[in-house]
Amino acid sequence: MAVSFVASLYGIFHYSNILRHELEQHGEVRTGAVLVRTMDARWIAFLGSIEIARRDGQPVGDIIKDLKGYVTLSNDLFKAYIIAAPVKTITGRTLNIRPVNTPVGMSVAQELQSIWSPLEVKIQAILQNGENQNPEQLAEALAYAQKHSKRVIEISDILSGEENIYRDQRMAGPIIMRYILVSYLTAVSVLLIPIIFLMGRIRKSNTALEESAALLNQKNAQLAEDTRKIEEAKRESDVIMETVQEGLLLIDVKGVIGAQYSRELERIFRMENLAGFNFLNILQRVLTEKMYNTTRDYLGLLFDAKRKEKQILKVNPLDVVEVNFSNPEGGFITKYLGFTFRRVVEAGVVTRVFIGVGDITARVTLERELRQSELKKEKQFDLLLGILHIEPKQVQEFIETAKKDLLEITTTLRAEDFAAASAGKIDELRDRLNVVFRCVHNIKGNASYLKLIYFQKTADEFESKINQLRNRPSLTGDDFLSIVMAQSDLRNDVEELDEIRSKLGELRIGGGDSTELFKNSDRNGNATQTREDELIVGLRGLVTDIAQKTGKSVRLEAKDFNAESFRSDHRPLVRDVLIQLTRNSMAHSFELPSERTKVGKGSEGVIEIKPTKHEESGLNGFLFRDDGKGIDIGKVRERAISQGLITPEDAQRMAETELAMLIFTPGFSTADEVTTEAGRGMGMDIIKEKIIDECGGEITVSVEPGKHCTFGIFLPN
Amino acid sequence: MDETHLKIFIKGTTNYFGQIAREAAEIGTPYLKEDNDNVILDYSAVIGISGSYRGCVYYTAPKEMIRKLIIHMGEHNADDALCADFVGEIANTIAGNAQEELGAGFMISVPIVLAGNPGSVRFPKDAPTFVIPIIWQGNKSYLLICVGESITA
Repeated sequence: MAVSFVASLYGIFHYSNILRHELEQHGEVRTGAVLVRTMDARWIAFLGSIEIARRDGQPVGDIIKDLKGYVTLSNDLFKAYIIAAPVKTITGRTLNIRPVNTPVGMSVAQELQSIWSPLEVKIQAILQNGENQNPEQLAEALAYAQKHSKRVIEISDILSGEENIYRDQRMAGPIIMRYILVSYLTAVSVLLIPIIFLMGRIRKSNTALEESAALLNQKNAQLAEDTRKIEEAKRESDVIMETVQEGLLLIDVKGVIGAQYSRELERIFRMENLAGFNFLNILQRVLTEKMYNTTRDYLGLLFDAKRKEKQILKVNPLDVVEVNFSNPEGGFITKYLGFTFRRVVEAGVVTRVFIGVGDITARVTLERELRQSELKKEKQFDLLLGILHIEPKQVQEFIETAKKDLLEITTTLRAEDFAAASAGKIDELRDRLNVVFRCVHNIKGNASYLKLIYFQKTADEFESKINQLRNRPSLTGDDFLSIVMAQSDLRNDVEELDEIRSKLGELRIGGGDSTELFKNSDRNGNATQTREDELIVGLRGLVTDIAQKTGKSVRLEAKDFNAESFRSDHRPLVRDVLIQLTRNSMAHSFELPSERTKVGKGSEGVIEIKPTKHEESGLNGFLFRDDGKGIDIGKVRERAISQGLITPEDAQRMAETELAMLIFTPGFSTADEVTTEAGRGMGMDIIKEKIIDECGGEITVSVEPGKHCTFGIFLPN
Repeated sequence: MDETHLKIFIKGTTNYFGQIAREAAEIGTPYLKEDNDNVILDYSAVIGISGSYRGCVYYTAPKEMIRKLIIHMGEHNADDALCADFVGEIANTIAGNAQEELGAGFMISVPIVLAGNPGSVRFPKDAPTFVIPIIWQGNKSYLLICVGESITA
């Protein structure tokens, strides 16, 4: 149907084209007939004009030229009515003339040709004559033209009439239908042939297609199986990447992270969607600048195929590295990461580097704790050895006193009343320095008393730092930094000692009688006496220790002395004072045995401590007497003058007892050199400050130069 | 951390006041912070330190002092927000100066500013805390330094 419809459409279209063409040609054939009618008049006119010009002696060239054109036109036009041909008119128009195929039309067309042919011969001769025209030839031609003129006009009319008849014949139905049929068949052929050809091809293709489809199905099945395997492998790979407890990734030469990486990596770096990120940029956020630079250089080496991988891996700077993440709540969250690297080499080129990252914070922290614990144990073991010989209670007292002294240092330095004037400020700072010294000195004294060598030495070094500051002409707040640092170290040591004491105390409680060590000194065997003797025994030990160091020989006697007779809050002070007085006597008062012998004394010196009461105030106290050379009043006078404490005139006027009291001035010392036992010029002023200023007690001094020195210490009941 | 390191922080502070506030600050006697000490004034800024050293630096100042400082620098609208920012800036400058001196192995965090008294600030337990009074025009502020060496330093 569609083909018929298309064919019909084509036929109608083709028929309308034929009609249009027939009408156009019909018009041109009739135009040609009209031209035939005018040809006769033209020939006569040209021939007459040539004759006239010849007679008048005028040139005939232009006329001959025009005549030539009409000769050509006549030839073409007359032939076209016999055999169809296009005819170009004088004006340039082209007429498609065809024969008028009626018997009459064909006959008159032959007649017209027969009339023209003789005339053409004659005219050609005239044309060849040019300007030399033969009047006879002209006359003959003109006569021939005039003779056939009427018939030519008739032929023209006949041709027009016959043309009308011929047109009607051509436009008749059977002809048109024939055209339509031909057109229809042509159109059908044009359309059907390709369709038939295509159908054949399609049938062939169908077979090939079926074969291809079977092959495709087979391939699809294979592909589906392969896809399933790949998906399964990917699922497994994803599970591994999701669950592996290590950050795994690949980076290219620019440091860009590949599409596949383990989930742990996001957790480690606290970032998501790391694919496409630059690994170095991530590291830059969490590493120090120094470590980042090192890492960048290291990765550069890894990508340099000329370098041996083994050698590079040996110097991995990120084996254990600290990384720091900003904490929204302030500061950092610190982790320790361990990195491993491997090259990925393709065609001799390092295309990527495989990186493994592990969060080793727990391991590193544990290692640090173990390391610190070992160091601490080593130190604690040394401290432990140093206190094994001491009664736990004494160690506890030392610790409590030391903590109190250290706290006093803090309280003194923290004091808000900062002097406004510069001059006053320095005095204020010096006063603070003196307080610090007294505290440290007290710790040293107590350490010395208990033979805590480590603390004695540490405190002595601390004193040296303070002394350096004391010798400075001016002081500022930050000068005290060394003091605070030393205080911090000492505080740590005391805390560690406290820890050991606590542990040791538990051991001793379970280990039996803690007073066993002191039984030889225990005359009455009761607890109170043991407590007294602990102090005295300690003092004896201190005396022995210093005597050994200085080459002196001294004995300590403490008949009826009972520390329990003092108020409990005064007892530590009593101990501190006795220690300080003992150390002073050993350092300043006692002579060497040879010197004592020279002046008629026994080679062994004696320290005597005995309880007493103040004659006037009735305060409870004790006398501390040594039979050394006592206070060297001459030296006290000399030092007091040189230190600006008194003028020479004052020195002349003052009694020996008054001069002796100068030893309680802060910073005053008669020792020639600084030792751990004396020479800092501190100590006696502490006694004065504690006894008189803090407790409201009294101090008396009795000196017999060269023979003895006696201090009376009295405290409120 | 030794005395030299502490001095770097102090120098940074005095430089700040000398250059920015154009009037030097005095340093009071430093002291050790005891466990029960709570040195927190009206505005405080905490900076975390990591890398070769670890801990925190903490600057705290009274409102009056910060207002004076701001006015001294030509800004008269010293509201609470500006005061808080200013304290953070001081702490940052101090820590930044320390970073220059202590090198590339020293990391400082963005300062966290605390306005008012938040109760207490936690310091690392494995290093002592040094309190350094900073006195400017009679007002006392404090620089607290609690910095120890890092595990892997």
